[in-house]
Amino acid sequence: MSLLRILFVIVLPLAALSQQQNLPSRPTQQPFRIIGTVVNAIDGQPLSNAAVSIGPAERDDQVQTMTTAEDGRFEFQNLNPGKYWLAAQRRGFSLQRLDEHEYFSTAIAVGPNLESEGLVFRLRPDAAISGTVTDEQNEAVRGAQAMLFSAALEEGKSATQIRGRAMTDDRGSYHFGHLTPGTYFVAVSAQPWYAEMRQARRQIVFTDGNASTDQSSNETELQQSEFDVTYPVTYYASTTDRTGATPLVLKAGERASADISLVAIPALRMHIVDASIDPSQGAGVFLTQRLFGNSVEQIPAQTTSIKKGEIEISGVPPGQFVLTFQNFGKSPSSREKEIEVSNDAEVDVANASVAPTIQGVVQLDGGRPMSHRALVRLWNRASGETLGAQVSGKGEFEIRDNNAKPGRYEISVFNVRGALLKSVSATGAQVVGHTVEISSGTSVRLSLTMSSGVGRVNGTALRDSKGYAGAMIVLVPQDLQNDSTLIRRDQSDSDGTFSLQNVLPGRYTLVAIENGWNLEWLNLPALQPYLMNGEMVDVSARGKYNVKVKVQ
Amino acid sequence: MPRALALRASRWTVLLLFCTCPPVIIQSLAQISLQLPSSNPETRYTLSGSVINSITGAPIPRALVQIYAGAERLAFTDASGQFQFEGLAPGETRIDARKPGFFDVPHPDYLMQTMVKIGPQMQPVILNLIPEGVIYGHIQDGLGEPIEGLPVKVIAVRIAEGKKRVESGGNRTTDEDGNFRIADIRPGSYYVEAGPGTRLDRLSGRHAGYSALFYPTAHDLSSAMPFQIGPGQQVDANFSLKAEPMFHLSGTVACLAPDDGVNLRLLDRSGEYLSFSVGYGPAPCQFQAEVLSGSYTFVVNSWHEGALLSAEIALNVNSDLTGISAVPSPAHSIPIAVRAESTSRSGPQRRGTKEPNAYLASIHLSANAGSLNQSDYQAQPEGDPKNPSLVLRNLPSGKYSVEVNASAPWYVQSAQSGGTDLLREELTVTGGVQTPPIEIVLHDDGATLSGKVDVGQSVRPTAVVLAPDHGSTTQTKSGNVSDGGDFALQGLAPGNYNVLAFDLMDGLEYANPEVLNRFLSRATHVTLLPDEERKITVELTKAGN
Repeated sequence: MSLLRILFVIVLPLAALSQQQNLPSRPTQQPFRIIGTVVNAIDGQPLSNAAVSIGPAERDDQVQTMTTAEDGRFEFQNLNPGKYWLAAQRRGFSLQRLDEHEYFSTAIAVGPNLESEGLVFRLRPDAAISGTVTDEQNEAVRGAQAMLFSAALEEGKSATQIRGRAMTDDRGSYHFGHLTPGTYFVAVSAQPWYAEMRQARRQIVFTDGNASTDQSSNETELQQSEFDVTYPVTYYASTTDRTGATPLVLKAGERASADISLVAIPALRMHIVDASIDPSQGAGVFLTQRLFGNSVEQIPAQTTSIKKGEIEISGVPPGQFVLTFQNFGKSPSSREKEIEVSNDAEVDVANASVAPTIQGVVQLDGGRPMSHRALVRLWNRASGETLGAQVSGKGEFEIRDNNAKPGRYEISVFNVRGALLKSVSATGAQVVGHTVEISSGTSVRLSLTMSSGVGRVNGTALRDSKGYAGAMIVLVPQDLQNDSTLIRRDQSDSDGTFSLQNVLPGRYTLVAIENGWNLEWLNLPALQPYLMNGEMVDVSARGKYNVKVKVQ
Repeated sequence: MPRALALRASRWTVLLLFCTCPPVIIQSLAQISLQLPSSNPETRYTLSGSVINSITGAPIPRALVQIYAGAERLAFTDASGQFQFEGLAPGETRIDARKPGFFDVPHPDYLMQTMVKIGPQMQPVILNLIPEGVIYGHIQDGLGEPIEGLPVKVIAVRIAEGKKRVESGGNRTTDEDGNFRIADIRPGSYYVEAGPGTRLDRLSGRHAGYSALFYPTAHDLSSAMPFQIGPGQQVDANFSLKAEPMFHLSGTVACLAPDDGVNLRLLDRSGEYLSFSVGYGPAPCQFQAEVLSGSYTFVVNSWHEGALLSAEIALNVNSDLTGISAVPSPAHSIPIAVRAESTSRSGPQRRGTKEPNAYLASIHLSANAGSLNQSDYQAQPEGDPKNPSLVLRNLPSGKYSVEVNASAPWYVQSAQSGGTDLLREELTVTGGVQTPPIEIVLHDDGATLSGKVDVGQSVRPTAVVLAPDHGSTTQTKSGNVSDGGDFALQGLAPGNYNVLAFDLMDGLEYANPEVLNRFLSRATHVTLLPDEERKITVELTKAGN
């Protein structure tokens, strides 16, 4: 079963989801039960004092909760036939659903001839990472920002994403708890407590009345440089090179330690010249650094406006940055430029890339009026970045995002009852399937046509003609490369059944994969071997299908 | 000899100015009286010294020392806490030191400047840094399980201008093991509050809550036990809290337009705002909240076309409450009339251009004074700048303590609202009832009180306190005492006063009559007449006793 439903509450009309569900019938005395034992996934030992809950699948009410005794046993009686989700938690074990993968889990089917007793609920203990941040003199760095990244499958492809941020305390300590097993990285961003930016220095006049001019000769400047320093973003184990970051591979229940020592290096100063910089009109310049994957971190540098057309940024470590340059005046604009900083530099932003302007219209079948809650989303599969806009009652939308970058975006439309995006056409950009290629500084006009109705594919995953629980079910569109937003997934429940909803009419291949949860399913070569043994399904608008599929 | 001299130089020469501004302390490290020989301006000097822990006297390595001689200059102390600046031209400069984990002054309001003279016969400088305090602890529930994500608040109690103030001294939430740690604490008196917090049981979807607990087991601030935290002190504050059921509150706010700005809050019994938020919506003008059982005041503030409307509803919660109805009424505006009557026998004291009366007096109202959610209101001159009127606007219903001040040479002879004497009583503002205008009368026949403090042995007086003997807190005045023990206070309203001289004003809640009463046996009683210039001698009182 899918927990995605819960996430979709925001983006899909509820009514579309609650049709035709196996709701338990009216409560009468029923002989059905769910019985099992909660054990520690590491050593198989029963877990006492664990809270276990069940509830009808696809619903959030009628929840029953009990606490396990010494033997880890739980038992729910007098259940109506139907499917139930099962969840448990305990101190040191974050809330988990049965056989949970991403937002899927195995629901227990209860009824005649169905196995719902003797369950073993393997609860994974939480892992944690903690450490201490010290400086070049081995003193604790307080107020440093520790960032946790995890390398995991995300929407069908491997990606390293930021998972959390924590501030170091007065002892320089940070802590990330409640972690699932996996591969992690830790990075630290901080400024030396004693750092004095060159621009921040004030001229203080001697009190003896001599308005003494600047005594900071070259000699003083040299002496000061000890304090004109910065910390580059530093990765565990104490490297400033992202590719040299040491991964922390955590098993369930593992408590890892990751101490990081920072080394201050001379700060650089950038002089930015651009005729359009006009502080009186409101202009901002900031530096960001790409850490892992899609995560960017703003560099805590100091920006000083020198005069019209000139800005200085001081306190910059050497490295590769994106310089974003914004004007807030009458015609707000934003430009970006990738820069490599290795010494005090003059930067000319003249040939920086300009954010594209994207607008368009969404057409509903038969000219039905547009829901004012409809949303358009553009997803850059490579970078993970998304752009979004709300659709007006007339079906028009405009993406007002100064940070919009050129690239390949897959388009989806949410919150339109019983309809999905069917086709895309555009002026000012190239379109293949649901994907549009947007270039720098262009003006793009999109025309989006919605389907009339959606289909639903139910089925059973089988092994040796018996229902198979916990398989990954994937409904793959024909053009996976350009229509990946049409993929539908589920996890088979205890009786092998599954349900895929909101399917755009068209031709698909349905596959069921055992231990498929580590598969990069968005990657065609990874999925290809399974497709030839899958089941072909032609889905029509408002069509309902029941497909038996062999587990591979 | 140099060592002894250095110690002598590091003793603070303290100058306290008592006024509405924070105290300024100037620490002088050089023998200022020493005449600098007419040295060659080309001569360069070396300034050296050390940074030490004010409590242990231990040297502090790697502290940052800053001087402002010509350009700003910086130096780290070495492993033995020593620093040195070379090639300095003669003159005077400010010097300061800093280091994480230490404070340079006991309180941020102390604008302390340490000055040092650069020239021949310089002595090594010793700079003291005050080590921070730390409060840490563990919070568990009734079953001994740690409570994660519970807010913990450190509440600082400090005395400013003779009045007690409580303010936030830092906050954290507990980690997954139920632990918290709050550093960066200056020496002083602190309460620790755990909770209130809610816990969503994600399995059942139900909320459970933890009422706020003040260390160790008090339910309000007044019965809590404060920690006295000394420099560098670390204290352990552990709590045990029991989960309680939460109750659902819902109802409507009479709103004039659906998009009026509305602010809804709940106050607990001690007048503090709860961290439980009150939800507004989804339907216009509806609200809901989840709270623990207890007595609350539900406060509604809404803005309609720029005007504030407010309502307060007392709620006693021990079950779900629905259909609560709040009808906000317009907030109060009180016009203020200022009358300046020249009563001085030496003729009108007013100098220069004739200022409108509205600029001569200021009036300040405080609700919940001395608590964490003290709200302050100040009358602003409005209208024609040449002939402005003074008005207090947008006052919610409540009780206010009032402070009225006049600019010299005027003093406040009286301040009244209807029959309420605002120099002695609180002002009560009631919903639906028009508060009578405030009338302030200023006179300029104030008395001058000067004199000497009878300096006993080695204790130095720092300030005198002048309190009207009718017990009004707002009219208590203070003034500084010179090194020779002299003081002078001007523009005093005629009347009966108790005069006290103290050795130490730091932490002395002298504006609180209960505190001052303890010292009254040592006070000098004085009756001041209009235009009188009075000289008295005052005995020194040790504030510590």
